[in-house]
Amino acid sequence: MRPFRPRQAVLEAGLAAVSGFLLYLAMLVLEGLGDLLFAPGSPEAARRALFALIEEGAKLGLLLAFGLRFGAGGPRRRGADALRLGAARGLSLGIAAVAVFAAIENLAYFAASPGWGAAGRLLWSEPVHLVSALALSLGLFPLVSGRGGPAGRSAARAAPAIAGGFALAYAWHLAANLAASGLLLPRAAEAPGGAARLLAAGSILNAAALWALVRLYLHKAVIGGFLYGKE
Amino acid sequence: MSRPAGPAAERALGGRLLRSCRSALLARLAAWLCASAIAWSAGNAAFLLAGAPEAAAMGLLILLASLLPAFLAWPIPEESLRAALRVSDRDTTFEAWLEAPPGPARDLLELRAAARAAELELETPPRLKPFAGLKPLAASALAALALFELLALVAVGRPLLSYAPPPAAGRGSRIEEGGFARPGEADPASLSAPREGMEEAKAEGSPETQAASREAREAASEEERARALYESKEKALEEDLALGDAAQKSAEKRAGSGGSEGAGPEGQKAAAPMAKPAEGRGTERARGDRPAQAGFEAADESLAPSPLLDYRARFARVYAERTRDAVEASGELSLGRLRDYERRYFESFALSAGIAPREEAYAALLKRRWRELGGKP
Repeated sequence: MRPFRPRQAVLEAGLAAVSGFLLYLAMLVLEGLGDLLFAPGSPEAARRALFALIEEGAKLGLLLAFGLRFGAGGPRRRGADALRLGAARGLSLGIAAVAVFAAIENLAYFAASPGWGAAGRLLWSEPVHLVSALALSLGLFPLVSGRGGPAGRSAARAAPAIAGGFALAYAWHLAANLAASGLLLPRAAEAPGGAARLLAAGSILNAAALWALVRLYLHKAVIGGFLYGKE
Repeated sequence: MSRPAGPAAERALGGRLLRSCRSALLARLAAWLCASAIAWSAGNAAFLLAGAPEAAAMGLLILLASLLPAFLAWPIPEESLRAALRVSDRDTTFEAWLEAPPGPARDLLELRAAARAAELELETPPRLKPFAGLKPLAASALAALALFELLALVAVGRPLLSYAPPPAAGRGSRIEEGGFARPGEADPASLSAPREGMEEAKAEGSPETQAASREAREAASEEERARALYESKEKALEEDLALGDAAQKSAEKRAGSGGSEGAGPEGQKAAAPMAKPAEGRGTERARGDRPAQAGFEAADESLAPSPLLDYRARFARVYAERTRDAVEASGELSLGRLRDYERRYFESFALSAGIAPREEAYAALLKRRWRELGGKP
């Protein structure tokens, strides 16, 4: 049984909570500024594309900060005593901060329109945020764990992984937003009972993607980072 | 550092570590349940004390459910992974293989790692223990739930799963005051009364049986009163007949003796009041509280009321109904107008319509219509 360290747990929980709250505030400000770019009557899809870009960009910055903070000090593998999570620890804390951000967003939606409608975000919006956060984390992992290679070449070698992770996160987020607003699959959304079917299908798809990405994250970042450390 | 070449060794070691990760995730789930129970109890208790709106509990529920991914995403503890590695790699076969630089020694170590991986697949994995803080956390959650239920019992009188705002003030006061229930509506206080209370009520007489016995007593007293009234009326009638005979005899005697005082019916009527003074009620009548019906015991109850009074009462009621509550006939109308209204209200339609005295109104109407149609009488 491992020892429980309440002080460290409280500090890390506070760090994740504050980071999630700051992420929410940053997105409010950035999306408010982004809204100024659009004149009345602008295409809704363009607005949503920009907002998804802002959100995923902010999340990428947050995860990068967490990964570098905990991963930079991660030891190279030197014997059994050097077994550390390193960057995976920082990325996990970053994902927890994104989850806090999603919870605050749910609460804000509930405050704006009280009712069980906000509970639907637990099946749709929150998994979307988590899927995108996991995709970003997997893309960032080679960079923050030093797997990209020696200094100087690390970022260049990790760039494709980062771009791939960001593209997946952005595409998933944008597709979910467009589907929720009826811009994607409008016939399915406008059919009788279509909203419920769309919510159910989206929830299943989100759950499947989340399950697959969690397994991949555990194998690649957590177990792989623990066993192999830096190259 | 090179990755393990043997897929069997990699799969075996990864499987053991993944099992440790799953155990850690289950521990997170338990920690989330405990922390949510504590937060739920504390939040609902605060809502109960502060009288928060009903949506507050729903908002808290959504917040707690939203925080589940944060618990699951929490970093897997390195110590649990390290313990799982130590258990699976007691002779550090995997460690030596992972550390070895490429060369002949590494090939030999890889063979040993593959053999160890084959053994691992046959071994039963050790039972993983939860982290040390889970038991105190679970105990705290149970204590928080118990405290909240205790508070709910004190504040609301029943256990609560979720905060619900108290009912309207009127209903609450009605329950507290022990019953201002509408007729036919069951009082919640009486529905929730304990069995002991029902036994006590049965011993003392329940409200229903008390009401029934009260009605029975009232009916019996009413019957006794009616019987007494009938008897007194019968007795007074007999006395009246007896006195009438006596007065007639004395009048005849006085007529026979030539006296003119009180002769005839007038004399008989005048003699009657003198015959038997009302016992005990004479003073009441003397004060004028009731219309004087002298000469008979309880005459005001036994005799029919004056038709004139009845007509006036009927007219007053109709007048009050038509003028609603704004006007009272007796208080607002002068005596002359009151008589005029009474006359117009009760007067004969036949007189006002100009119908012959012996002719019926309906027959007169038919005749008039017949004439209007050009028919001959």
